[in-house]
Amino acid sequence: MSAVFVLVLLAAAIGAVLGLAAVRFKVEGDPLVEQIDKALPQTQCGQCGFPGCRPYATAISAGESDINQCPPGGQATIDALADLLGVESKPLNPENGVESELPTVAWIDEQICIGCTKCIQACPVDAIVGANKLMHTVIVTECTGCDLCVEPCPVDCIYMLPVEPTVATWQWPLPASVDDESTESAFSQSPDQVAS
Amino acid sequence: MSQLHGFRGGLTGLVFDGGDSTGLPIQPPILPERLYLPMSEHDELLIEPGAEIVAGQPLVVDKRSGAVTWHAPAAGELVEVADHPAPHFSGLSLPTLIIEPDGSDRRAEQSPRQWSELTLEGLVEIASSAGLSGLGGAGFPTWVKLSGTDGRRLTTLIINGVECEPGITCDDMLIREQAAAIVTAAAALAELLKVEQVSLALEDDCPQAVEALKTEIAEMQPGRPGSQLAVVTVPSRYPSGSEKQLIENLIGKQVPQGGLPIDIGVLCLNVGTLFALHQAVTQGAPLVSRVVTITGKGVAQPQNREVLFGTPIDELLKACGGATADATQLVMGGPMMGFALRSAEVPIVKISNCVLALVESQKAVLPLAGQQINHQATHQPCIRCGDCASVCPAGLLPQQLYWFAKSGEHDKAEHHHLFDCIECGACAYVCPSKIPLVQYYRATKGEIRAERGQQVGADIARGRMEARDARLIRREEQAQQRRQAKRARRDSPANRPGNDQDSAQVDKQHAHEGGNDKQPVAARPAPSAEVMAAVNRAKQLQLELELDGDAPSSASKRQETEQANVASDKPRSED
Repeated sequence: MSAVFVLVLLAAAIGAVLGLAAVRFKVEGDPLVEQIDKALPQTQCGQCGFPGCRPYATAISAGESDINQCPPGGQATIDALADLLGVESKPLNPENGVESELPTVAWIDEQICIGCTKCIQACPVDAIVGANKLMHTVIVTECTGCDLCVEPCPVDCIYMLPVEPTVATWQWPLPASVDDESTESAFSQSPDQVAS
Repeated sequence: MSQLHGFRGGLTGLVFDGGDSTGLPIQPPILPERLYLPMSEHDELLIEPGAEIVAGQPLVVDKRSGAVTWHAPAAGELVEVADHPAPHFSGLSLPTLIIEPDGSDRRAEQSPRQWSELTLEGLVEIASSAGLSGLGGAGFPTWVKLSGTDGRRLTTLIINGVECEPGITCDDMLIREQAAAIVTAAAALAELLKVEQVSLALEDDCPQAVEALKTEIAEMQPGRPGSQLAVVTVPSRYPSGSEKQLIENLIGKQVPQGGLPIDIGVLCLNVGTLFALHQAVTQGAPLVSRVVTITGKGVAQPQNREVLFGTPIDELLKACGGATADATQLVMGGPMMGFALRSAEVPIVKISNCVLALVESQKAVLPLAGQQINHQATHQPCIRCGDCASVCPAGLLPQQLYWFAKSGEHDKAEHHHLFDCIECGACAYVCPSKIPLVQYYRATKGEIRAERGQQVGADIARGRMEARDARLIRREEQAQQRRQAKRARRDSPANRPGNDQDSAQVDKQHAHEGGNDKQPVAARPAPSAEVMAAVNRAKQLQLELELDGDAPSSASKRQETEQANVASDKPRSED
């Protein structure tokens, strides 16, 4: 009898704590969506078929969309998502586009621009400034290179230019790898084994 | 301080086989045809291109701090600001001030001060306005270093006279020739900073410099602050000239990870920096030149020379007897950490302590520059001998870092303290497989930094996207409210049929105000069949009347209303 009493009491106590915790530490929104959104490159280009990175993250989280639909993020983003969600990584879906090698940034030919504001409305991150019948220009530091302003331009004066490396952004390349990889793997363990 | 504590790893018996650069005294500066001063992205030009300049005039300041980046090394004209090959690993160009000296000795006014009258604040101000930065190689701004001591407990002042790398002799030569100034400055600085212990650190293989310092200290009267100065010789073991290793060697404490020497109560200044600080204080002279070692088998007369900043390396080599016929490679920096130059027009800047002109046989033995030169050449596989770990002065596991770098496992590389690597090249030097280890680390560090930068950019983009979405929703809500208000007005008794003209005016007015409405059509109730029939009748009537040339009737008024409504229905473009 006392055993039943203790168990009931325990269940009631734990239930109360859990109930309190559920109210007290309630997480607003879906934390998984946040995590997926963080892994996405935030280009807001819509190439995944959703109007921005967050809607795509929501769709992935709901299981409505695959993880391989983000061309700007490329394989690195797909791998990160696969890692996060515990699923197999897969190559980029070619229907969504191809991974670009160099980051790009929009450039408006101000001689040709007629000031129609169409690109301003298309820009998902408000990176274009200008006004009606006045030339527009791109705030280069805010541009995500999403391409969305190119299509609506009636005079085709917007170009996507590759970002050239500068002294500040230049990186050392990895050295050329060993020609005969098989020789090396015959000698070596995997790095994980050594690390442990 | 009598005993040394040593530091882990390092290479002994490292000799640079490239001729003796200590045979000649420090040579006077040459005045090249043009001087090239590269600007960084944070720099701001103080004068317009085309302006006449005098020597010592501030030309470029750092926008963030106001510290002077460049003073005019010579009087002349600032011709233009144009792209010019930068003293950087990448070989890329930077916007560069191009100065044509006119050979005159016009000079900006200088205000000499006394060490004894200075406060720390005053000294920081002098260091900032004289453009002082670490001349040892890292180029850390001296004013930041000095101001960092404010309010902190400072136990030891270390004057670093230990050469960074084998083959470099500029610190050695400077001490030999300017021992008096260095000792005076060290004593005065110690008094100003109220430091208990001052160590003048040198390598044990430069006896003349040690002798010069000891003589100067002995000449100082006892009781003067100079008596607390101690000359410390450290065995030549690469990289004992590196700041962190020298501090560990002298006081037995390590600079904390990600910290500065001041965190353990130490201020470490390169001997060249101290001399420049002395010049700035006692003569009011800004930093416009430095001592550079020019050596290697590819140069006719290896020597140390005072060089004006901005002097291109090809002109500097000419002044040193020119390059030999078999010279094949120029390197900026020393044989261990230097980088191969793609252009001989690269100018000398504040961190350039050494220029190497190498012949073919020398290239193979250089760990960094050599690997970079033979970039396409592949190396042998790692045989896990562990030699790299035993020489690493930072106590890292170079072999592990190599695997992580190779396989792109950035988080593991960071976990194994990749960013504590000082890129000294000791691991690559001892590697029997000749793996360009440091290049792997540099590449991986770059990738990790780029990833962090992208993450910051992504966060900004997300914020802007969210702000835009919020704005669009807000605007839609406002439009909705306006439409409701309009409908309410129309339905009120005052606007019953019969007051058509009034309502048309109200509509027009609102169409004007609500120009930003995106979808005003949706809110308007569709006209009933009766109304449409009436409109058609009215149109018919008006057409007939117009044909008759009659005055507009009430029916045409009705049509005006419709037209006004249609006009307001047109979606307007935003903004």
